[in-house]
Amino acid sequence: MWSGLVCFGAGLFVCTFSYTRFGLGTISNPGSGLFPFVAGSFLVVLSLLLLWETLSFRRQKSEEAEGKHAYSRATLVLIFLLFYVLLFEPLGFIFSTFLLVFFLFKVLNLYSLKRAIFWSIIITGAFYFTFQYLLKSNLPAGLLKVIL
Amino acid sequence: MDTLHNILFGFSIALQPANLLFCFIGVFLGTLVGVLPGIGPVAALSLLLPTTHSLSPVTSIIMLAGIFYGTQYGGSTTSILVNIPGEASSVVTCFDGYAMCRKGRAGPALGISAFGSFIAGTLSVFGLVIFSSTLANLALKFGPPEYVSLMILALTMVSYLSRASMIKALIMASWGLILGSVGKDLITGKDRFVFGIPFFLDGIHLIPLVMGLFGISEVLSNMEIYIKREIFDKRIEGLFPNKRDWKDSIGSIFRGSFIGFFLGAIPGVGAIIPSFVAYGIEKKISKDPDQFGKGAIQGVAAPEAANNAAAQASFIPLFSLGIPSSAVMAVLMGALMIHGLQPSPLMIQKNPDFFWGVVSSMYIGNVMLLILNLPLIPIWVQILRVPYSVLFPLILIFSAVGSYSIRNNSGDLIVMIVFGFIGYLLRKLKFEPAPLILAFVLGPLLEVAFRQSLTLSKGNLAIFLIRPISLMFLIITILLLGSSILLKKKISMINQED
Repeated sequence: MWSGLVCFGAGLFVCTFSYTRFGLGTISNPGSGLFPFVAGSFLVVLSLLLLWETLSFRRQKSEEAEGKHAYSRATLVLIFLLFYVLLFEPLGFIFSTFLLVFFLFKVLNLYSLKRAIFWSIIITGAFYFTFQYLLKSNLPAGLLKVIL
Repeated sequence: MDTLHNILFGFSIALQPANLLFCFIGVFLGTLVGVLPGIGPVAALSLLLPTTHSLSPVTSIIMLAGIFYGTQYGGSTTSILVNIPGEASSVVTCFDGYAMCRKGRAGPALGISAFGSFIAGTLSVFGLVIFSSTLANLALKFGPPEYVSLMILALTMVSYLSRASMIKALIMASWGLILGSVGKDLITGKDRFVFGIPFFLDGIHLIPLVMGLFGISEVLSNMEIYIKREIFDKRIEGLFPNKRDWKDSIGSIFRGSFIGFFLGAIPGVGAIIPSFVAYGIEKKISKDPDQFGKGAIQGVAAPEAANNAAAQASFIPLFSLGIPSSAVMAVLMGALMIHGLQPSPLMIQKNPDFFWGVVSSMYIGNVMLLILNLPLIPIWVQILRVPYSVLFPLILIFSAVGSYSIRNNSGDLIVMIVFGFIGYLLRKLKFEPAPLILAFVLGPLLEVAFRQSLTLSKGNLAIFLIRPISLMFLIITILLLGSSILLKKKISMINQED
């Protein structure tokens, strides 16, 4: 139900935005807005169909109960990832990755403290070596630059 | 004669030491990914795409292609031994493969699936050569209007064959088209959906998008389920099928290859449907259909041949028309473009070293897979013991580093996380991300072709209808849409009767 409404709103937004900001141009000389406008109108029509479908099939559907515990694990991982991304450049690859792996292992209760530290170091080191030296990527140095 | 010459030329490229090495790495990683449930070929390809940066285009595609067809081999191992399909396309193999395993015939089941895959893979490579060149020659006559209709057909096809609802799949495709238009419009130079953020000027990059939708969201969903694995502990003996096994299954292998190849070449079909169709046909023509599900060797041979043939055939639309037919191929097309190759009907002519080199490497890859698979089966079984708790941080870091290293921009990381979260919600709401990826890749091409067509016809939309090839594509599209509505009506009628 919500997904239909969100898509409907977004579709309308894309259409108006394409129309007012980019300009549709003429049909023999299409402007920048024509293609997104067409895609947006597809979205509007399809989301209406979806809404109609969910409303008419609603009675037959029963909601499944899901474990709360499971939800919270996914949310935790997502939050950790968000911090990881924010700290990726300032802290540098080595420190941020170590922290991410360590927290994932520790907070999800997968390993004891010693093992979590051990594996975090191994995993971070292996990734750093592979990407920085073997594949010659340019990983952010961050703190490492400040220290050295 | 010409083809033979080209194939020899291809082998001279594929047999270069670096290409051999990366072909091996590709099929090895592919088998690994195939063995491990919880990570599919799309995620694996996009995870490893950034690692090909320092390689030549031919070498990178050889490796990436190897990963893809390698997964089809690996998936069957877990189906047979632990009743868990490593890939969705080896679901059917579970039925009789696991039954054979429980009867103590795990060896021949693994053996016939490897040999069947090899035979199918080999036949399809030849099919790929013949059909790609023929189709490419045909496609040289296509103008922008034909391309528009063909791309619309491809998108409809993928949505039609989506396992969830077609409306949802088409919604995903529309999103893909919109997301694909973010950034500077190359024709007029106008900024679209940039919202004053300079990062968006270059558009959204395919890699963080795919990493988010397939990699991160897969991890998030897997956090909610506990993957239970029962490990098969007995020694596996007699990997070589005996004479009777061969006699029973050789026909199935050929039929499976044939079905897999022709279905697999159709956009959106993928490798799952052919394996089911092949299994169904074997059951239907069998003298003893009751044996199916209880360990019939035909029930392993046919679907395994079919999914490998289909995997190989799905390269045809990309190599000959420049149009990806599945999410995996969309990522592969992204890889081609990153390496400066524009997939089109001209690609075979313009980059013969690329086409023939990659195709020949597929044959070599198949040989490697056969050698790699049979003796190494005990190792793959050991790998199944690696718990998911060790695996998922690796997937997360791989996705992050991969997304970052494309442009060394942390904006790509944010895009990845946002789409990871969106992908997670989409999985919950039963939207499939594949049509979105495909539309995202096709969108910019579709737009250019669409605008060229309109300019060409001076604004007359009838241009799509008066050109016969274009008209034919559109008619098929409408038939697909119509049949899906009819199908839906029928289902709801059955529901109401119940």
